Amino acid sequence: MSGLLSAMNHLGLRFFRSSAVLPGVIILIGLTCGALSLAVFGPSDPPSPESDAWYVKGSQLASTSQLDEAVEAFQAAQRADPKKADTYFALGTIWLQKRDWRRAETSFASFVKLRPKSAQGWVLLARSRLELGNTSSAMLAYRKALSLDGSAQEAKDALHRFARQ
Amino acid sequence: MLTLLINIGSLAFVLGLWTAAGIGPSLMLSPKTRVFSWLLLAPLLGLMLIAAVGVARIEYLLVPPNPVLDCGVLASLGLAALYVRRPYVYRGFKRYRPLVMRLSIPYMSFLFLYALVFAPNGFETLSTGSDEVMYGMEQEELMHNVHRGTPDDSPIMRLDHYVQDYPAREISHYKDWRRGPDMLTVTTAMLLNVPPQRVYPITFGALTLVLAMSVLFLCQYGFNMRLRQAWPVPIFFLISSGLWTLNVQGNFNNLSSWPLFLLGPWFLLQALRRVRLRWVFPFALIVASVYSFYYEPALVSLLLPCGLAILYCVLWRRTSPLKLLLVAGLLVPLVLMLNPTFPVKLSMSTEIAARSTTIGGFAKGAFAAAARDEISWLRQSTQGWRNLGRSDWWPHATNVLFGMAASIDVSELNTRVRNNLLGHPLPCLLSLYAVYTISCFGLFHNRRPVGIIGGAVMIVWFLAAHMFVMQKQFFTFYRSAMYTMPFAILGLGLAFSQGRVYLQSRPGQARLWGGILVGLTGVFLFVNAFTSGALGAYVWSHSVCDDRWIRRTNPDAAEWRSLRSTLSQAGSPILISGFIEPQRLLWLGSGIKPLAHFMGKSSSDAWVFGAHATPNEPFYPVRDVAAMNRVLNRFYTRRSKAELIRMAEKENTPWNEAYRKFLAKSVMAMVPPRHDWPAEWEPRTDIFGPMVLEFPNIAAVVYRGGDAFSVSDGLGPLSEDRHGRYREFIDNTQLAAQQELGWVQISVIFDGAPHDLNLTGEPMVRVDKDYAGVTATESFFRVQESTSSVHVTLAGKTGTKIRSITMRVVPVALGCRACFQP
Repeated sequence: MSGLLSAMNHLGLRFFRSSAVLPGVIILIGLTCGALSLAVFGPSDPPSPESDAWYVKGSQLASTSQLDEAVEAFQAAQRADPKKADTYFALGTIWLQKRDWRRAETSFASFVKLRPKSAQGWVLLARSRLELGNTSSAMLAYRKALSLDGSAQEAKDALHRFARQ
Repeated sequence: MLTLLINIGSLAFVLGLWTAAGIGPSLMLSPKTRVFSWLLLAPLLGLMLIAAVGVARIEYLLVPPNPVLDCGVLASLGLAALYVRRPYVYRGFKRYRPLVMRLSIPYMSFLFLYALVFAPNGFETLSTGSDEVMYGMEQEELMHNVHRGTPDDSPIMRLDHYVQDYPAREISHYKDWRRGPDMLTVTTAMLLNVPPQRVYPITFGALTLVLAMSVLFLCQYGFNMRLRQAWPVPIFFLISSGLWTLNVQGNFNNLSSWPLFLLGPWFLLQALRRVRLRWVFPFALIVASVYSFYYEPALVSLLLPCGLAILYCVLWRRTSPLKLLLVAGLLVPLVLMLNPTFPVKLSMSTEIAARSTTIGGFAKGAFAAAARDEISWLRQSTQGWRNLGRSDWWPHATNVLFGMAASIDVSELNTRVRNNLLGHPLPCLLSLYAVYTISCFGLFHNRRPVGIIGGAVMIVWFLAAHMFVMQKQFFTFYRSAMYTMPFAILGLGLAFSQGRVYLQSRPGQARLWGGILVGLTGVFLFVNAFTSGALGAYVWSHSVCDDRWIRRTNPDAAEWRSLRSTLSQAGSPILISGFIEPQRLLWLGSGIKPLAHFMGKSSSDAWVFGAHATPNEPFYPVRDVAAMNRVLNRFYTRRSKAELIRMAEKENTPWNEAYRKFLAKSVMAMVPPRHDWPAEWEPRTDIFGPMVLEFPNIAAVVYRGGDAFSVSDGLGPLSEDRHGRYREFIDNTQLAAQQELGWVQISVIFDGAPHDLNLTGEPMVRVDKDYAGVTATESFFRVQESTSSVHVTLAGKTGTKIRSITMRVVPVALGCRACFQP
């Protein structure tokens, strides 16, 4: 060891013996951990222009009340990028319009799984569950919505109604 | 390994070139006892001189760039200066040799790691926006066309090359353009004879190193620190993941001007103390360069600190007005000599500032209206102060500004951290203020004028940016705060250095404070290193074929060459259809340059600029000569007005008319990957799909005419039912196609169960998808090397209705690492 240190001194590398090495160590650990994080956790889900294109198309169709075509477009967007939360929300609202409560419930459940902090998502999920007759799970969803947004009127009214019953 | 060595060599070449160009002034201007330290400034002075000469050629002399001559002259002067000053250089080298060896470790490590990140694919432009792609195309114009008298030497955009010409033709001739950094890339690209897209990251890496060296110089003289104490400060700049952000988001000009903003006030302070060329010349060079590198934030980044420096000298140091006049008298001719078009840029930047603010109103004499606007704006802003506490945008700002997460979430862990932070705006806000507080400590601690000025500018700017938070314009806040980053990072580095001093030499409480400073700034280093590590590993492990976050441009890469060679067979403009991102359209335009092309309606609807914004009107209304003149006065060009009008006449067609012609002529189209027939062409009449060549992650090329394969008798006649067209399967059918090497994917969609129809040949993989009674079967075949062909037999149940047969060729022979594998 002493031989190594004297060799370092000889080479003008006394630097490594002092606290001067601290930034180098921090950076080395940081770089290694960063690179390893990519290897271990993998790359994140990138944006999908294809999915976006279908989503835009679906929104255009939905705004002109062509609901069946809009559903097809949104489903294509979903296939292209299953992690895009907005697509589930858009599909859910169409199923609500078409009074297909089961599908609406599935869509909003997927939506809140991806966006658990969306009070509106929880409200619409609760509405679908209420229409399906799942009152207790609907109340749970309303409570969740209220905890996220204290001004969610629909949730307040529903919980109030439920309490009176 | 070879690519790594080439990368290291390229970086070393650029640094060497800049040093050679700047070594002359740095040696001649430096005090005799400090010759060696002043060499740290040589690359910065060199790059400013190279850019100044290049810009003067394009803007003043109106001649094309000639880097061999310019760099040759500058390097010869440098060699002469080296010869004259050799005893001092030798003495300095002898004295500082051990220290230099230590100091060079972080720089060498950066150079090696940066080269390593690009080792698998070679240097290539990385982009998540559009600016980097635009720079590449503009630099190509500067290299090959501008002022060369070629047929393409004109600022007039061509309708059949619109995507390529839009960001390059006009801008490369604009008077109002920051051309300095472009000239650096152009110089290297011309000397190495490679496309500018490959040089862009080289310039970026070398600029980062130059920034670090300039900071070391500033610490040594501006903050009066010893090299032993100052060396960690530049490391904060080298590891900052914010620089990666600038790299992939095109803020090239911002990075190139960081050393100028940091060093400018110090040189001015010195010039005002002792009126000598040694201080005035570098300051003049900095002012001239800022106005060709990045003049937009100069009002706050350069002029405000310089104003403060003048105030400091006048009020504190009692600098006489005569001295001020003397400095100004020296400065003005020097700036004009170094940047002859400086007055034009100054007037244009002032005009922009006046137009975009209420100053314009004051200037016009509309005092009452302007004052009313200003008061109403301030009142609205201050009413939104509650946004400060609850804005969920704070996590975004802290993440990106301080390197907690990359601007693009390349790593899943990165995304999770960011998402977890999103719910906690208040801690993020506090950490943002904590970082700025530490930075202020670093800048103010030594009470050096340059630190106080830098700190004051940082605080003023950061606080002023809060106005945007109050107005809920969070992105503008982030952009404004980003301009304070050079001062903030400098302050953090200085605080770390000071903390180390406390830890080593002071007893008791000071040691505790030292530990806290080192700990907190160490966290900054760690998170930046972490993010840089993740981003670097991502860039290293992906290529153009599988990178969906970052678009990569290298015209020499096999993928782009193959795409260009395929498209060049068309002989008519290529239809670009189905792409909805303008950035991606620019990227594709750059990749297929110089082939003629046009955007289909499905793409141009997403592109709202230029000719496509007003499709019924000609973009160059040449008959209106007055309007034309107004346009032409914006350009630096050797072309006469008559020539330009003649050129503009060629493009004097409304887009709708040109579009119809292009569409009728087009025989090949580029559509998004895995798509086929473009919506703009008339629908196909048979069940046989078009020939499609797939370039993974880039585009699919669709052929309009001819069939992809020949089909032997075995299918019934074309019929139609309520589901659409079909042909009945009667007997075994041979499908044959002549292809180059690669994979061929044949998809058959038919009514029935998955194994009602089978494709046989040498299928590698068969995938069946069942859509409620309709089956899509996809099989992959390898092209036989001996015959360059594919022969496949379609067999199955007689009477099965076949809805479509399509063929898609994936040229895996491109050589990309992560190409499509079935």
